[in-house]
Parts: sequence; C-alpha cells; structure tokens
Amino acid sequence: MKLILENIKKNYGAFTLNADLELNQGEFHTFLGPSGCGKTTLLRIIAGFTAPDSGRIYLDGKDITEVPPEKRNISIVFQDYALFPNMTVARNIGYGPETRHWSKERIKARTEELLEAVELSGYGNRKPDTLSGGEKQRVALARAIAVNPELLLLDEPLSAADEKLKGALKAQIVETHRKNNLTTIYVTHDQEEAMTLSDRISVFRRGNIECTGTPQEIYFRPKTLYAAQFVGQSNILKGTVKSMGEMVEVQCQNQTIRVKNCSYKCVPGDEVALFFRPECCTIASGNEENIIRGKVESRTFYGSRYTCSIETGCGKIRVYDSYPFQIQDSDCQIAVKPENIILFQ
Amino acid sequence: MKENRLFLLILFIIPFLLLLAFFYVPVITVFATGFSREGLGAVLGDSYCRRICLFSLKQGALSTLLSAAIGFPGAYILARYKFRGKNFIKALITVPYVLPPIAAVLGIVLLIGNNGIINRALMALSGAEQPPLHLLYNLKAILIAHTFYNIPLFIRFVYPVWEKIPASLYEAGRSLGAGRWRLFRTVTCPWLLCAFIAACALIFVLCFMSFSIVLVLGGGPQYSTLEVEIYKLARTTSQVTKACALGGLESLITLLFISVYTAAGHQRSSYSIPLGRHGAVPEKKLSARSFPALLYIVFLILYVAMPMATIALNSFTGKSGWGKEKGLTLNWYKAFAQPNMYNPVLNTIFIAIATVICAIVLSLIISAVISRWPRGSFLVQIFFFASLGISSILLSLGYMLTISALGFRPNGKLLLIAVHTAAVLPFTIKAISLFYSRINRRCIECAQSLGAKPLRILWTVKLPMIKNGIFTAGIFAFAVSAGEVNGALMLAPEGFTTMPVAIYRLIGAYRFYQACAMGTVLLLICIAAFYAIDRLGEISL
Repeated sequence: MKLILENIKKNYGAFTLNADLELNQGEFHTFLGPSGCGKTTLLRIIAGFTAPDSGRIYLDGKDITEVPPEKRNISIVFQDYALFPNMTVARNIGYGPETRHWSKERIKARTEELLEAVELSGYGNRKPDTLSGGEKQRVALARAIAVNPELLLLDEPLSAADEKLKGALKAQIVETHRKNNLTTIYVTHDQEEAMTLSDRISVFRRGNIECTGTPQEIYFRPKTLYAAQFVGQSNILKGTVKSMGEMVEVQCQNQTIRVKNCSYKCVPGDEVALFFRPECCTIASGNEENIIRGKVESRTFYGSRYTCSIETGCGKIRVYDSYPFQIQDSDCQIAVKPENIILFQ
Repeated sequence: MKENRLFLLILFIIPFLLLLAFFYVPVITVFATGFSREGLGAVLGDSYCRRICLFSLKQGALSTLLSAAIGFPGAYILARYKFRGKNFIKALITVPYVLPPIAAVLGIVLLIGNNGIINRALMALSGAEQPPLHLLYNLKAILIAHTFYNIPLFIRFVYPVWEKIPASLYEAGRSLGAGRWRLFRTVTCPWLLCAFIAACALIFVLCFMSFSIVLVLGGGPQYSTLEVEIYKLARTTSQVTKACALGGLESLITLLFISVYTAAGHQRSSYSIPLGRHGAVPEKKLSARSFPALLYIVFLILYVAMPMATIALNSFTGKSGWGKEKGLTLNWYKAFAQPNMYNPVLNTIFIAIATVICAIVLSLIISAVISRWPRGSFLVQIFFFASLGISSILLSLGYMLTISALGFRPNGKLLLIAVHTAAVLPFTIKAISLFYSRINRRCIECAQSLGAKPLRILWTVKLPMIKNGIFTAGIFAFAVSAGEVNGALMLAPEGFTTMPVAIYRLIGAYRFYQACAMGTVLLLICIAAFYAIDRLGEISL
C-alpha cells in the first residue's frame, strides 16, 4: 500500500519532528539515523501509538491520522519482540487473526503456514521463554504478518542479535518482504543494515529527514554533508572556490582540485567542503586530474582490505589498499576524478 | 576452600539443631498428639469443632474476596496514574505490614464501636439517642479489621506487577487489532494472574490464622476461629489433645495455601521480562475528570489511616467518665512512670532485642550456607521456611506439650524468644540471603589474591556488602517481636507482660485511653521500623 506522510509535526519541547514522505507499494524503506533523531517517534506516529501535533497520514489514499492503532491494519515488530509471555508460539501468531474473528481452521492453517515460513515448524506449543533470541524474533515477524497487514513496521529488530544471527534474520526479513510484497518501514541506526536491506533510505537528523534516496544515491550522491558523513567512510577536504566554469576549481592549501558536482550554486570565494569516498581514490600514475600528494601515516588491517590514512596538505585522506600493497612508499600520490567529488557548502 | 566449607557445615549444625529442638520437635509432638485416634475423634465427632472450622474458612474466604475486590482498583490507580502524594499512599499502604494486630484492633474498636467516633458522629448528625451501627463483636468487625490489613497488602502485591507490564505488549496487541477489553483479557489478566493468586493465597492464610483480631472483635464462640479455639482449649479448658487436633488441621490447610502462594510466586518470576525500549505504559495524570479514582484514594487514606489516627488522638484525650471529654492531656503518657506501664515496655524491648540477636546470627549462618551450597539451598530453605505455615499458638502449644513430657519447665522468656525467632526466621533469612546473593564473587577473589584471610574478607568485604540486609532483618525482627501477642499470651511467665499483652488486657478492662498511649508507643516503634526498612532494604518472601 502507498503511504503518504504530509507535513507531520510533533513537538517535545526542545525537540521537534518534521516529516514529509511518500512510500510506494511494496517498498522496503529504512529510517536511518543516530539515537534520538526522531525515527522511532515517526514510526510510532505511523502505527498510531503517538498522535502528531499536525499533518496527515494517508494509507492507500485513506486518511488514517485519527484511526486508532487497532483499526489501521499496520503491524509492528519491536526490538524486544513483545511476545505475549502467557501464550504459546501458535497463539501469539494467531492473536491477530483471532481479533479479526477468523475461523479456528483458518487460524490454524495460517499459523502452520507461517511457522513453516519462518522455519519454526513444531514450535507451536512452546512458550516464548523457551525460545532463543533469533527464534523469538522470527515468531514476532510471523505474528506481525499473520493478518496480511497493509504496512509492516520494524523497530530496530536486529539490535539485540549478535553478528552471526543478524545475517540469518536479515535474510528472513528480506524473504518475508519479498514473498508478501509488503510495504515495509525499517528503523535502524546501523548503516550496513540500511544499505543491504532497503529499496530507499531516509536519513534522519535532529527530527528532520535530511535526505531520501536509494542506497546507491545515499552512498555515492548524498544530498547533504551530514548524510555523506553518516553513511560509510568519507573524506572531507576544506577549501575555497577559486573559479567557475565547466568545472569548479577549489583551492585546498597549495593544491587546486577540480570538482564536477556542486550541491549548491557557489561563487568564487565561498568556503566549501569537498567530499569523496575512500574507494574513489586511486594511486596516481602522473596523468590524472586532481593529484594529491601526501605521506602514509598509518595502515589498518580490515580483513579483506587495508585502510591507509594519508596526511596531505589539505587534511587527512582515507584510501583503501589491498595486499600486496599498492601504496608502497611513505610518500605517495592519490588521484580523485572530478565526477567522484561533491562540493558542499 | 575445602576447610572453609567444612567449617561452614559444622557451623550450620547449630541452627539445624536449634530449629530441630525448638521447632520440629514441638510441632511434631502436636501433630502426633492431634492426629491420634483420640484427637481426631474428639474433633471430627464434635459439631462445634466442625462449625469453627467452617467459620474459619468462611471468614478467610470472605476477607480475601473483599480485600481483592476493594484492592484491585487501588492497584490499577497506583500502577496507571501519576498524582501528587503517590509516594505517601505507597508508604501508607506499607504501614499495616508492620502494625501489630492488637494495635489495629484497638483503633477499630475506638472507631466503629458503639461509643466509637463513627457512631458518635452519626448520632450527632441524626440526633439519634442510640448508636445506629452495631459493627463490633460479629463477622462484620472481623472483616473490617482483616480488610484494613489486607487491602493494602493486595495493592502492594499487584500494583508493582501491573506497572511493569511492557507498553510494547499493549502496542503489539493494538497493532494486531485488539481493543481495550481484549487487551485486558489477553495481556493484563494473564500478566497479573500469578500476583493475584499469590496475594489471595497469602491473604487467606493470614486471615485464616488471624488470632487477636478474632479474639477481641469476634466477641465469643459464635465467631471463633481455629486459632482462637486452640488457644482457648489449651489455656482455659486444658483440652490439649483436642487443641492439637485442631492445630494439625489448621496447619494442613495453611500449608496447602502456602504451597499455592509459593507456586504462584515462582511462576510470576518467569514473567519478569525486561521492559522494552519504550518501558512501561505511561502514567495518566489524575485530574478532576478522574473523579472515581480521586474518591477511591480518599477512601483508602481514611480506611488505612483512621484506626491509627484514632489511637494516637485518643492517647492525648482526657476523660472523667463515659463521654465526658476534658480536652487534651498527657496523663496517659505520665502513667508510664508507673511499673505496670513501663515494665511491659522494658519486657518488650528485652524480648525483641534477644529475638533480633538470635534471628540475625542464625540467618547469617543459613544465608552463608545457601550461598555456598546452591544445589542444596532449596532443601535448606524448606527446612527453615517451614515455620511460615505454623502459627505461634501452635508452636507454643508444642512447647507446653514437650515441656510436660520432659518433666521440667524452662524459662518462659526463653520459649517466647524461641517462638518469636521461629516466626521471623523465614523473613530474616530472605532479607540477608538477598544481599548475600548480590555479593560480587570477583571482589572476594580480588581480596583473596591480595592476601586477605577468610576472617578479614568477612569483616572487610562481605559484612559491609550485606550490612543493609542485616539491619533490615534486625529491624523487621524487632518490629514483629514487639507486636506479637499470640506466643506472649500462651507462654509468658506469671507477671511478665509485654506491650501487646498489656494492650489486650487494657482493652478487656475498658481502659481504652491507657491502651491508646501504649498502642501509640508501639505504633511509633513499628512506623520507625517501617521507615528504616524502606530506606535500607526490603522484606519479602
């Protein structure tokens, strides 16, 4: 179902949430941001647990702003699972269908189908306190989709899981989303989760949606410097706009760097920040544009690659290297293509 | 390490033998006498005994039902509303925990008696010449006293569980389409069920074994219970075998309900899942619109505070005769200069201090054993917690029987200390072992690695860590011993009167104002104890 959030506002004294957003049918959308940025508040507003101060929420064209949570047909999976401890796994999954007065046979069939789907067949009669964290998470997921909700909300569902379990659960979430073609909103502060799961990501900052886009857009073409820094590793160089033309020339200390992409209309003399990813840097052979000279300061091993920290006249730059090392000398030259650099105010 | 364990086991023999001698032997003697053909025959063939037994069950069940029904909205209000004075209400409902029943009885007599505050107020309002309410010396008086104690107890049991229901459970339920009623039925009720059952089972046991309330407020054989009847049979008519049979019967029923309480409490702990990121359900503000809740709070304050306030006020009231008031006076307190008033205070303090010392020493040894021997701790707990299901009257009866069988009479004060120690031991063990279990093993290992010997570790590491538990247990033991009347009535030697016994006798002699002065002193001791416990630790089972 298509979800539209129109001028949503919620004020908590010093903190104000503002949101305008459209989600497409079947989209897997992630709210990404640090703790306290308002992503869970917006999720609770969508679920109906928190009322917005102003703005409207439309689900499939219907205004649901005033509709109580139990009538919205929006399911939620919480970080702490919120399984009913007094009920068996099967009764937990069948809870939603029961409230909708499905027949006993239909509830049983749906429960069994979902238990199989989340690979927990035979667990129906067990109580939640006998399950592991991953199993609880899968039961919570099955319970949420049992009623065929119009929208599925996932509130940091993997934050309590260890790294190994996270992989399996992520696959389960993707599978569930794909099979049911559910419009899904996923809340997380983990950029890797956001990148690997989402169709689109909204990056939150202090109660505002800083930018929205596909993972690729957010990563390679971030619209704000905050989003650029929040997602992945980044290099930021400070400089002054020197001249304008087909490309913008920016003076960084004693080096001139040519930039193709500007996030705003700059004029000569502007103090700006240049952003590019470590993987956009290459070892310069001598003919490239934007050659930056520097000295290798440290080299950190990350398993599949090394990260070199290079001190240049314009600031520190992070560059990825592999083994055997391509950057062999302590003095080196790095090249960054103008199209890989974004200029921010 | 092995030497330590051996030393501990040898040390453990002391409480083991003491409990065997001062608890198990007398109790088994009572059971052996009571469950003999003669004992059972005397009880089962006697219609009066059957009626007493049925009345005990009936008043226990009614008291439990009323306490739960009236307490349930209170638990809801404390769990779901925030309002000014909430902490005061929480403190107020804790006071009856440590309030001696004889003091409550005194307050209730002065409040609802024919010449009590309520009747006098009604007579003044209506102009009637006769008191309109006849609440004393019948089932109504027993129920009023029992609910005075147990409405707060029920609230204290249920509201902490209610307020800890994670908000995410309600939100998950609502997102799945459940309305208020379904959420109450499927989330709230199952969550509260074990606390509800545990509270009801405990209230039933307390009411079923209630002694001084029934003795004074019941008014006679028509409203007598097993506990009172055992006392009368043993002390007044010397029908010891029959008393033992009734005691055995009472213990069986009590143990059954204590098992229910323990099982429900154990089950409850499995629901103690941590609150989610969003915590508990946010509290609502109590406003003028929540009129029923406001009304309930006023009722609760009056119901719990009035008997206590009545005692305190009457202790400062001077009278020259029935109904003729002379204004405020300190005369009743000046009477404490006389031996018949100050001796009970000194006796009570003596017995209470002795009880504290015995209970603390035994509890420390037992807690150390429980902490070092976790596999056997269940058996140890059962062995030492059994006194919970045995009333002081029954234990005193056991002493009387054992003494007469042995043919010598030990000091009555010693027996009284033993009865009091047995009564408080389960609570003091729990209070101390709670702190014992929280000792960080790493700290002890650290001290060992730094060269500290066991005694030094005990003095510098362990004792400082459990000192709050020791203080809590000690204060609780003091308060319970100071307010205990059952054992004192049965065992105290001639001329040795404790404060609760003095109050009981003063009530019997209609010297209410002197009783109030004594009651106020007792009340202050218990409130101070409650305050100290509240600051230092907790008392639970």
